[in-house]
Amino acid sequence: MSAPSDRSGLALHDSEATLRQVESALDEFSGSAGLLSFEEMVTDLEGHPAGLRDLVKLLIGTYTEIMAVIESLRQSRGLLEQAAMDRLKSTHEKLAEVSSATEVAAAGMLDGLDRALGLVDELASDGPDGSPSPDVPSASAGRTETADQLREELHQIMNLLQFQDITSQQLGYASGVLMDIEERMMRLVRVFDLQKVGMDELRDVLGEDRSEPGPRTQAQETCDPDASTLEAEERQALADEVFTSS
Amino acid sequence: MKFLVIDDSATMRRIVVNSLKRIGYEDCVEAHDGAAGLAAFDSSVGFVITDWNMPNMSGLDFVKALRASGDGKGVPVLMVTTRSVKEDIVLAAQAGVNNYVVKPFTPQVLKEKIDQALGAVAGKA
Repeated sequence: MSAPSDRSGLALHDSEATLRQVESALDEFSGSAGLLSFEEMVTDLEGHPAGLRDLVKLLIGTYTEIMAVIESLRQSRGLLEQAAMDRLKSTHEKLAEVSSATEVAAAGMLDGLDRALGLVDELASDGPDGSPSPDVPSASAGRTETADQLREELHQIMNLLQFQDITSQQLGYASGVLMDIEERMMRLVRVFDLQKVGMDELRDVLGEDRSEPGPRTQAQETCDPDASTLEAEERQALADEVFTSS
Repeated sequence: MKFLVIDDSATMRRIVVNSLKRIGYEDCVEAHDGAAGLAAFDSSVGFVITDWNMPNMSGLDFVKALRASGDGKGVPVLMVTTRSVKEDIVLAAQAGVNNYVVKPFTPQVLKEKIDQALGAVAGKA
């Protein structure tokens, strides 16, 4: 299955191909008018009925407008690609890591629970009333050791639950990116009357000059975009290096 | 010694408090963000453990405010966070954090960093 960012990239690539086709068709249309420029066409129609001249002028005007829209679409396509693709890719990676972290933590907890159940069985085998079984030498010491092991297993399971905080931040980041892109798309739809807004406003909507999302929401404040369950030891080593040298 | 544990994640607060109890620190108070942490802090708190990314007031702003207050100037502060970019770690050190733990952590690492922070503060006193 291809990643969403790959599919978005393909869609943008297709949109560029479509724009080229429309442009080519319009070029053919203008070329089929007998290799005359628009100005020459209008001049050539002197003496013809006024209605025909008006129709040609209207067609030329429409052609020019369509070409301007195509150019705007091409620019907006480029800006959209620039603004969205990288962040969509990182969002996809975050979501994949959430899935993986959840699976690893769940597997770790199940393994720990299996071991804990084995230890409970060991404790139970010592005697129904908790007293040392007569056929188990040094049963009391064994029970203490087993209880310590059981406690260790349960603490480890509890520590595995740290994944919840980390994946929650990853999901918060992904949600923030998707909401930001949705907001930009909605604004784009609203301002897509390019005759009125022009490319400067379009650039502002698509955030050409911003690598970060728009104003940070409270949800974004609580999320670390780099939160990860991976390579914890390497990241701790970096922190140790800074604090040892400071 | 009394610990103040600040994290917006209730799960993480439980894990940190549980780890503290396991290594022998039973007296803990909790806060869900930096502002609540400042309100909960008083001279009876002997050690602060704080997250970074929190609503209302971040852990970094909390540490700056704490260091600017009378009682909070010398208390050891351990930051426990997912943030592991070097620039962030340096910022934390500059703000007055005594040691730094990257999530996910093990109780052994937590104990080691608490001991180091306590040792460093005792050395300065």
